[in-house]
Amino acid sequence: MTSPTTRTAPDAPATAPEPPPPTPSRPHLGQRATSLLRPLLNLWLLAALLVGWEIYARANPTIFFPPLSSILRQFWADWLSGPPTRAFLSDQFFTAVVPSMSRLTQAMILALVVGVAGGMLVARNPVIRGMYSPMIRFWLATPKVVLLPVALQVFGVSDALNIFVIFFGTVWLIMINTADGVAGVNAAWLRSASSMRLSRWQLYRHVILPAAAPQIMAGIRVSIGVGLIMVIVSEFYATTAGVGYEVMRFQETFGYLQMWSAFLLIAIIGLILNLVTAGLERRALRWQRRTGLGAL
Amino acid sequence: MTLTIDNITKSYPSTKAGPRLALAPTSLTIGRNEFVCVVGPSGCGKSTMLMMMAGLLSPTDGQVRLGDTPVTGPPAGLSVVFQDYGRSLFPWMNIRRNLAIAGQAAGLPRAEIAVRVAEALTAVGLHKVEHLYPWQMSGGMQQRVAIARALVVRPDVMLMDEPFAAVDAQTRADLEDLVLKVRHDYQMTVVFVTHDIDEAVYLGDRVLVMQANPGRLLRDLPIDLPRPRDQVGTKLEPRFAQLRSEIFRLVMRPVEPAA
Amino acid sequence: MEIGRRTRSAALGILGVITVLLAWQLIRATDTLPENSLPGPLPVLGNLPDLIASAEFRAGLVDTIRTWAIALGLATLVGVVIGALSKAVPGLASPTAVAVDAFRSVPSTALIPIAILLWGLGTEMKVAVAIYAIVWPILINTIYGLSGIEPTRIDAARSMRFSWLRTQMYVALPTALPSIFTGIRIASGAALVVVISTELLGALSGVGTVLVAYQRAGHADYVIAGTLLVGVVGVFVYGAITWLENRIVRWKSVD
Repeated sequence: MTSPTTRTAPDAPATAPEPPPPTPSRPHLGQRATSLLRPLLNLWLLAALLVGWEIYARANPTIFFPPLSSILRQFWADWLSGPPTRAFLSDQFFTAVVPSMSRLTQAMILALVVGVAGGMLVARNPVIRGMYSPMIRFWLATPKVVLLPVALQVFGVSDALNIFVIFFGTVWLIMINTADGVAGVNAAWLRSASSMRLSRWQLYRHVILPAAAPQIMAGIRVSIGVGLIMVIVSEFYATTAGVGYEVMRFQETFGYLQMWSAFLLIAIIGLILNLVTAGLERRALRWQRRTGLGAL
Repeated sequence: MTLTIDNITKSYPSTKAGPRLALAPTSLTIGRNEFVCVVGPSGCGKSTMLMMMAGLLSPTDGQVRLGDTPVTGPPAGLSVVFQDYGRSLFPWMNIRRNLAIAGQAAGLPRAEIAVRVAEALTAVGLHKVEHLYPWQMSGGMQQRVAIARALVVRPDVMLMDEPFAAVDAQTRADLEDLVLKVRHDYQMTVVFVTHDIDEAVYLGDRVLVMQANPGRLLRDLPIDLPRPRDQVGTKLEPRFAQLRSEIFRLVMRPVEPAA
Repeated sequence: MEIGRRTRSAALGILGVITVLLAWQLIRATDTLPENSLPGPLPVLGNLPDLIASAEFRAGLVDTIRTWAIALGLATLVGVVIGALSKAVPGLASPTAVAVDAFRSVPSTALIPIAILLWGLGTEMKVAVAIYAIVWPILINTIYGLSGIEPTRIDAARSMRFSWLRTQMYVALPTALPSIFTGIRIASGAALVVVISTELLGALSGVGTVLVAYQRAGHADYVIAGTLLVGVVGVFVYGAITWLENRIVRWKSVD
């Protein structure tokens, strides 16, 4: 079977297949050891593909498609040549990664606040739902990158451009997932809350928000992937700093090896973000798996 | 506090043939510290009536009063234990938080909530479970937690909607005795909806027998069995058998048209 | 009753759009941004007919949609075939899933400069990046769909002495189809994003190229009108895929 994290496809609002709840049986020691090793054993195909890259690139030498080993050497020199006190990260690493990640973080926080608040409003108020859900669906289906030229008109080459595009690219997804999650909160929980006379604030804070959390989290996780795509493309399109800018700069100055090394950096950032969000999601939503509500 | 039901009805505007009557006009007074059981076939409106007492459903006509105050929403001093404990406890909160939230909703101070939570858990016979989550417990234990949560506000009235329908027989007997015990400890009125006639007779001071199509109150039967009750002794008494067969005949009676 | 509800929801939707247009006009009225960077809603909407009539814009749209369709078709083929193979060979499904998870974590747009080096600025490059971006959801959903086959159905096929290929065609594929379509639906949106990204970043043809040209020429009203039209196309494309899905996958609810 596939591992649970892989089943959520990258751009799926609420449609990606959910992993089945894990079997509750407690493995004994030997089984646990193999279950820890299994993900590592499953890496062989990935490793084989990377070796295949190396062999192909060595057999067909071109500066456009260098072997992985050369890229790794360049990667080391570019990003990991710093002092041990900074975890070996180089100055170049900080000048490239900090702007990109700060844009992503700011935009995602904004999208989260606006998306969750908007989604709750839409789910709980029928008039607002009637007025704005067609528009939310319109923006959801729109390829949001197309806003880049408009954003450049309005914001010029500035951080605001990148942040706006990332925000606009992700907020609808979070909003629609929140709305679906809130609308789907089990009536028994609401009845239970109402019989306890929870105040409106307590109801949202302690019941509706946590009950809708699985879907909100799913929305966030997909959004982070989309957000990263938007950071990169917006940095290609118009900026003066960031990881995307690094790739573009080296491509334009014929520094192809450096370009590949910057690309590898982006790939690794993507990988780490994916693993971290998957892990956070699993931790935060333990209750959902255990109650088996995920299967509903 | 007296719970008064004054000529309430409930109908739904569902079908083409006109509104569907879920509960025909019903009046009833439940005195302080009474234990009232409600039995009847499905569709007899027993849960509907309970939800109206709880203020979770508003009557189409008539009024529910707790003491002298009309019930228009969930009233203070009244707790509900639902059948579906899996859905009424919050799985994202541990047991302590699940209980504390009831105290928070009632606006109790923090220190008082801690006292009440400990007290309620002791009352239902649970120890060292504060940090567990509902899904780490058996069904019977979860329903104990649900009862404990109802007790946190030290209610005058506890409404129970088929609370033990989903647990096994042994657990059910334990929980029945637990309800009798906490009712004695907390000195409260209990209204207990069930479809199990034995359970109704064993627990109640009164049994209300209801009938379907439309839902209505058929008989209000006092249970003159001595207290304290006992799972073996009480159920062996001839009077128990008598009451139970009388109610059984009422429930099984062919539906007669409403007056 | 039904018609009344529909008019009501349409009216509410229109009311929602009007509130947004009013807000837009309000921003225009405060004059925080110069007219030539954010024109008001009226000139933009007034330009829509012009733009729809413009041969340049229409040719760009057609080119983008053609590229999108080619990429989606090829990615579906590749994704389903690799997915089926990885499921057919014992012990290959999990390693494939791990590799796919790694590849799909890479933001696909980061590949655009590399793809430009390798394939130039033509359609080939656009299709290549789009395929990389969308093959993973299709592949993963194929594996997932094939994992859900009832063993009894396989046994039934075997008892009828179906060949391997026949089993795949008549038993495995239909069972996996709902899931595969989920993958295609996800992919179709992502493909449009990536194709337009390549056009904004230098590809020679497509609607993105046209919008960049308008932007450079200072036609802010055309840029916004064009953006809205692309949004409409996106909605249309999504609707078409969903319609197709509902037509083909009728038995979805049975399982």
